[in-house]
Amino acid sequence: MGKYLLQRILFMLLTLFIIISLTFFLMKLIPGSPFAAAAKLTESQRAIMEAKYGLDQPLPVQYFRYMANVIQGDLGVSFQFSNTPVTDLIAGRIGPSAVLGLQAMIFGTIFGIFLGVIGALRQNTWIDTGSTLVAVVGKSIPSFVFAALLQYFIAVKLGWLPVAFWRGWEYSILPTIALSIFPISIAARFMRTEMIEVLSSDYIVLARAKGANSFEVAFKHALRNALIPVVTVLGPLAVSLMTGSLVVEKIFAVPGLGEQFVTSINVLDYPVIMGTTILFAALFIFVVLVVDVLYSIIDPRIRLSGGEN
Amino acid sequence: MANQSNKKFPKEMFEKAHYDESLSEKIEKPSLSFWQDAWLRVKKNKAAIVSMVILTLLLIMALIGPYLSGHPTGQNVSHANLPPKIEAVSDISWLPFDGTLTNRNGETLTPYEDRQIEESYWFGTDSLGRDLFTRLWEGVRISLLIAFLATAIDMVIGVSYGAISGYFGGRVDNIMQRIIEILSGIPNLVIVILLILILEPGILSITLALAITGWVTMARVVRGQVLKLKNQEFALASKTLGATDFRIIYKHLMPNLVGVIIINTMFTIPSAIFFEAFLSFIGLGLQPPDASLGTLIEEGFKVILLYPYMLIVPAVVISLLMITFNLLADGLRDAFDPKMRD
Repeated sequence: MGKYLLQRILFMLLTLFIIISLTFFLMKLIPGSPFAAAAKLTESQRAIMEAKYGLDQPLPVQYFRYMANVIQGDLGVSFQFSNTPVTDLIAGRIGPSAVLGLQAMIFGTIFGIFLGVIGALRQNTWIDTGSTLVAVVGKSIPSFVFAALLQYFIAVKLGWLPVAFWRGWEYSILPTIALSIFPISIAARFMRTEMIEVLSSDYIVLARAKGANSFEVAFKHALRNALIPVVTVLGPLAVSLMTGSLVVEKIFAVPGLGEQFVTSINVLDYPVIMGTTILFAALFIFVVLVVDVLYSIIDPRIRLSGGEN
Repeated sequence: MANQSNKKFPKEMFEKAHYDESLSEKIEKPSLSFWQDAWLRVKKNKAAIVSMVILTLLLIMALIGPYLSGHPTGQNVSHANLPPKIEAVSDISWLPFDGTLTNRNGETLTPYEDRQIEESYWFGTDSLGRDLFTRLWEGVRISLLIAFLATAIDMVIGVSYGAISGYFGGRVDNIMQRIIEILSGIPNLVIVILLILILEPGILSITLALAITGWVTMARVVRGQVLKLKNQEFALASKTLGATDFRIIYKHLMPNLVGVIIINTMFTIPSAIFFEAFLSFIGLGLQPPDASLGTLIEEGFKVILLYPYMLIVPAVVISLLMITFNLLADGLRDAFDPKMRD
């Protein structure tokens, strides 16, 4: 376990290093300088600006300087918000994104598991068909299409919930629902399959034979074991939430990381794009590792092995 | 007891049955090829069949749709922002094709009568007076084109990478797998966005960005299958007869991989459609006047309060496309590989 964990963490750091290098060089490949668009600058003014940001140095020097800064937690300064450090910008924006992400994750998996379980218990009835339908539709409809339609029909037409912005908990309800549709469908599909498999295993038959009622069998005996594999989908789900947050935050004008990322892309604020990219990548790698370790802890049958199999 | 039955059935009543050994191996049912078997199983899946029909209709519309409405593709500012109107069903009140709009105060507007426009636009027009019906199907065409192209590139890279890695094994496999491990550690979204920023948004750059990130899953699945197949007798036999590695992969392993390749491709297409629309929505998609489903949704979202039909029409079509592709993919997965069934 210790050796495995060490190897995984080393791999994680290597991946992160590659991602940072990749983003750095890709950013440098984009033609033009950040100040090229500012037409009012004279040639010498531009040279001064570039010197100030270290852009006059040769590429390797810039690269090592950036790397050294990133390791120390300095992601550079934003171009669009008059030299605010990127870390400050991210810190100020991470709150709403974290709230939305966690709410969507918790609501999505719990509701999805519920749908999957009732689908499996009432297999081949209209309840099952309904839950499968929700799963297929949820998996298929892009989150931003769903978010835009939710906003139009629930908030604008019916006026039940606020249309946009971030001024209290009720403002987070619609974005959370929009984000959680994907986790719901994935969890439901997965849960249904697992539950059906577990329900036909010997120990469930035994529990039934001993006279346990079906409610007890389903929730006390079957659910626990069926839940184990669901842990594996948590990683991909977390990633989908990051992707979804970009568009959902834009639609509902939530002042989160995703919304900032989209704005930065549109105005080509490179340091912010890079900083957010690195943060997303780091989060992604971390979540995948946690899920893998968690899985081996919950289910001792799965042995972690280092690299080779 | 035994005596009684003997009396009832005297020996003469019995006749020796004729048993022909050559018939014991006779195959009663007609033998089915891989494709016939798969088709038989797909046919049983109602959802997959319905999806296939809808999908075929959408594909046909993507080809001929832009020429059906009779309106030119160009701009016509005097016909801007007209709501959907279909003459034949404009009297049915619950269908939204009566050519009226309800504004935010609940008043009903009748732009066709107000502006004395004789023609009717089936799905309305956009802010530049372009016929949305024409634009919609042009958008579907481009979205599908991007998705198919990206998927085809994915397939070629993924299958060759996976086959080489799995077949040669050893050090080659080890290095190739480490590369995949690192690549899959990078979120797709990041690479796609960075690539689009560098390459300037366009059909080719979007396709390329999607293809570069999409092949990893295919490579993994193919490698797994090749690992399983390469040690089986038929591959060994071919090797003993002196076949080259390329021939074994191409002639003997590939036909056995067709199932997983098709299944994987069917799941890649909707995800490519999604990513294209996603990129357009965050402002990295096609540039006007080109239209794709993503750009249509983005344009519609901007005016959602005034002209909701501009969002709803492309939103419904992309949802239909995604749902039918996913259902068909599910059906094919069940048909090709019953072991992978839900």
